Amino acid sequence: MYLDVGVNRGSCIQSLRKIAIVVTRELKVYTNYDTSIMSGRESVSRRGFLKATGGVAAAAALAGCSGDSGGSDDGGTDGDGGGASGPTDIGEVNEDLVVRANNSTITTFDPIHAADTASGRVIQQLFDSLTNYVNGEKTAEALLASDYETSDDETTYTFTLKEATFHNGDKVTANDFVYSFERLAASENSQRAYFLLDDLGVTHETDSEGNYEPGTIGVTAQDETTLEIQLSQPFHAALQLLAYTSFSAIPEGVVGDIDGYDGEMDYEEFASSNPIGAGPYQFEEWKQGTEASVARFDDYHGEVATNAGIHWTVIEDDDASFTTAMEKKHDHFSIPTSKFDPKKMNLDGEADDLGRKTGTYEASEVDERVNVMVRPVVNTRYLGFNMDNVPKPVRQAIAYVMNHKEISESVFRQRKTPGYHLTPKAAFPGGPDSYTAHAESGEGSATEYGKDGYPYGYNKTMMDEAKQVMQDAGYGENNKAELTLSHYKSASWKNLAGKIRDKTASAFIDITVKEMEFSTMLENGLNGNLDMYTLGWIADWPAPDNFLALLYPPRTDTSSEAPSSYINWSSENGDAADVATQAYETVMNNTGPGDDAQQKREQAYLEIEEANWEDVGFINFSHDKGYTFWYDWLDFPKPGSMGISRQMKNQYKVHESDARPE
Amino acid sequence: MSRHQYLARRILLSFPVLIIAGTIAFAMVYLGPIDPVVAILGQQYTPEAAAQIRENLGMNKPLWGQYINFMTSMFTLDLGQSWVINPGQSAKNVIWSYTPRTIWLGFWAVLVPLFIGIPMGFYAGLNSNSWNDYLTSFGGIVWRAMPNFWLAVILMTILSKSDALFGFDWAAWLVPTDIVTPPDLAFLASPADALFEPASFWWTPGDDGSFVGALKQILPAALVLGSASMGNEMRIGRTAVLETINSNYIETARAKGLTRRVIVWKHVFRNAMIPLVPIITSEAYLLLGGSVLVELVFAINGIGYLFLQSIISGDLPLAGTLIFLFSVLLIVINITQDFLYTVIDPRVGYQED
Repeated sequence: MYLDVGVNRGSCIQSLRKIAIVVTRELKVYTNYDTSIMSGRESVSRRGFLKATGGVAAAAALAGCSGDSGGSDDGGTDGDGGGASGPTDIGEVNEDLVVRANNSTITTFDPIHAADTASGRVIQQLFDSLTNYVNGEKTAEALLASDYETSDDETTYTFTLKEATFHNGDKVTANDFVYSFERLAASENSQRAYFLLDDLGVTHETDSEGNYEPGTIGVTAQDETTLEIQLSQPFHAALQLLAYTSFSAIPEGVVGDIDGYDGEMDYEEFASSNPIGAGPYQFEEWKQGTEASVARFDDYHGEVATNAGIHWTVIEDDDASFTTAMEKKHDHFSIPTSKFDPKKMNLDGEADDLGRKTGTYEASEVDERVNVMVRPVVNTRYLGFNMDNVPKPVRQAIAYVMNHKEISESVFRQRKTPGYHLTPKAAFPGGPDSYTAHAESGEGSATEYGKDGYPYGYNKTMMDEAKQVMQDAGYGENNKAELTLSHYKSASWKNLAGKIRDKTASAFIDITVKEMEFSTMLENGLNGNLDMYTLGWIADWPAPDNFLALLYPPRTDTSSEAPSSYINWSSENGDAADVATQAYETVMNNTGPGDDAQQKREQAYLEIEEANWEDVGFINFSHDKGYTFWYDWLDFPKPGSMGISRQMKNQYKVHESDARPE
Repeated sequence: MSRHQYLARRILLSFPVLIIAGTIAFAMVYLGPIDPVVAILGQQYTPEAAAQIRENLGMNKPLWGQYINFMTSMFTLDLGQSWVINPGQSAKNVIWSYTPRTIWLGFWAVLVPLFIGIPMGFYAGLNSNSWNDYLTSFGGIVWRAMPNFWLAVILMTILSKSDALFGFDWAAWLVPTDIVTPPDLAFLASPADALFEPASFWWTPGDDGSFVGALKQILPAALVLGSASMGNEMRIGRTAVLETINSNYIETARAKGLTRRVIVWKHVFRNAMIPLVPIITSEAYLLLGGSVLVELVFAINGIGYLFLQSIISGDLPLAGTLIFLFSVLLIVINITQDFLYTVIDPRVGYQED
């Protein structure tokens, strides 16, 4: 899913923020901002693209150094708090307390309509699907399903449903799923029909124009608790994809936006004031642009929530949300990059098996330590080239010039890790270690293109090579290559674009930087009008094929109907295009969950990555880290790489504490 | 022509202006560079999905058809549905849920400077070239010069640490409020409570907020938003008083032995108000987009914020409606301004040529 970052805010605000910081305390003046990424906010434009959700989601906790003790110290806050300072005043868990957090602008509560993280955060709590990423980790487990079976050819999934009730008291039946999935496929309100029809590949019929023929999806209720889903071909990530909130169950006939149903309520009512699901929380209130809240659902089929509910404020501005968090009015939160100082963070030792580290952060704004957790986010940020407009030597020279490590440190202030593959570390075949070995030295390479690792300098700038490749192609001081680098509005991208422009100037490349609205940039991309652009991708499901579809050359043709990226990769402008094409076709022919298919896919994934290295369609330069901050009185299962926004909060516990304001 | 005829004529004349404004709004939004379909679909753009959305949104109709639809729905106040910001909801509901905060903010942003800026200006004018005058004038200029976004961030930061800085906790003072986020204005829904349940209306911060709480919460934002006008009003008030006080008729008044009190209150102030009227009414524009930055910093998420969002994301019905409503508001403010002129200065206005 598209990774957008941005809230567009005047650079003036940001530069002035510096002054505010100085006034407040001894905080440093920063020069780099990436305000939006970190807040996981959705900003503005949006719809259609999940933003940097994980980028930062948020959570936080304050070591209770304010209170000079008193309360029981054994309040049971998790040990993660490591270096929290001094005795705390954390008391018993109080299940009548509400978890408080921030959110950005919510658009709808209809699971098939929501395409933004802000709405998704709430929807995740209200609705249950067949499966779920438990604690936002990347394996999906059964949720509303108690059990499932697959047929021998791996195309038929038969789910047995748990005994569960909707918030209106109705029992969850297989027919509710048939209705919910039909809405996903056929409703004019659905933004995600392609998840069901294309990605998951549920069998269906289309009319002469290729549109879905209503009522034909291969989803049937065998009996009240048995649901059968028929796929057109095996799909290894079916259970993960089904965890997506779009696949949530809603009571049959609740809205009438598909054939055969009149609807028990208006669509507007369902989407904004009376969403009914089978999730651990039921809807309580939504004041647009102000706040939203959900309350514990006592008849939940799973673990009934250990808190009374969740309340979100809707604060878009980083300073404002940070201020509120520092007033301790959010139990977990994010810290905007502009306020973030890596030196104040104290992480304990080694990462756990999910690549997560916990520790403390000195929030000098409140003279307190808060808890922090850093985790990898399954996303990638890249520079894309329209290969028809930018010749290969120029692309290679830019790749030589870019030092990915320096970018992640100086532009993104260590809140990203340097990247070399389009597939993020967590989803890479063989895991993070293979990722690094493959990029550094070419270990396990699949083609000659990758035999020595990343060819353009692993964590270094290779200026001589950049000049050489340009000179060999006939460029020079008096014959510079000219191109435009387009980026959407974001202080970090602007900063990055400026750095690339300055650095490439000595390699005989003259870059013009152009900043535009996100949607304007997409439109230019679709029309093939971009030379070089900055974008990112965050996992719909955490597997390489979800990423590498962007590098399937036939789908990058901007004159085609629906390009997945805008690079126009073909054998005319890249020697390795055929390798990538064949490899991705191997992937598409081996989509099943079996080991054999998986091995073939993994080989093909590497071939695509290496072909991209050779032809430089994308320069994949970083993966985000997700930061979660929280106060001591919050006790919660730590979210995995799918992010806190995909985590159901029914196991969050809030302890009594004098430091926590009413 | 009587004052009322004049008013009626102004109102009639405003209709062509509205039509032109509506047309411009339509042209700006519908012919502008933002394609809402791209904004809605993002990278999931497929021609089929795009065609479907265009069909659903009525974008396939000929432009003049869309124009007539837009204009009739504007004039009949049938504002259609939001496309992007809150899809499936009527623009009217969306706008209505964002408007009260902005009006509350704008109201105080106009009122607060009025009661600070003008008295200070008049004071400075009456005591011109004294140290107090210099101090006031200098303060006014500085106050005027501080940019809103800067002042907002500073004020928010100071207030959130008021306890540590001054030993005075702003958030807990009087009635507990948040420093950012919009005030709760639900208490306004039952105005009768102002008389019958004064405690809950004016004071007790219950579920529906209270007058004092809402005022306290909006005050920092209103001060910032009104800061520029406060400086303006002060400086213009000072000049106006000086000009009036040195005019011949004041000298005459003095010569015929009127007391200073009568001169100041009856002759100087009333005449000095004349140049201030357009200044004050033009501040009513603060009710419109001028508040975007302040709304953002204080997380008030009002109509200025909504307007920005709808433009950026190509929510055409919402943006068009807002532009149209802004035009209506401007016209109303202008008419009010001209009408006030005629009240304050009978020489202006409605004589037939």
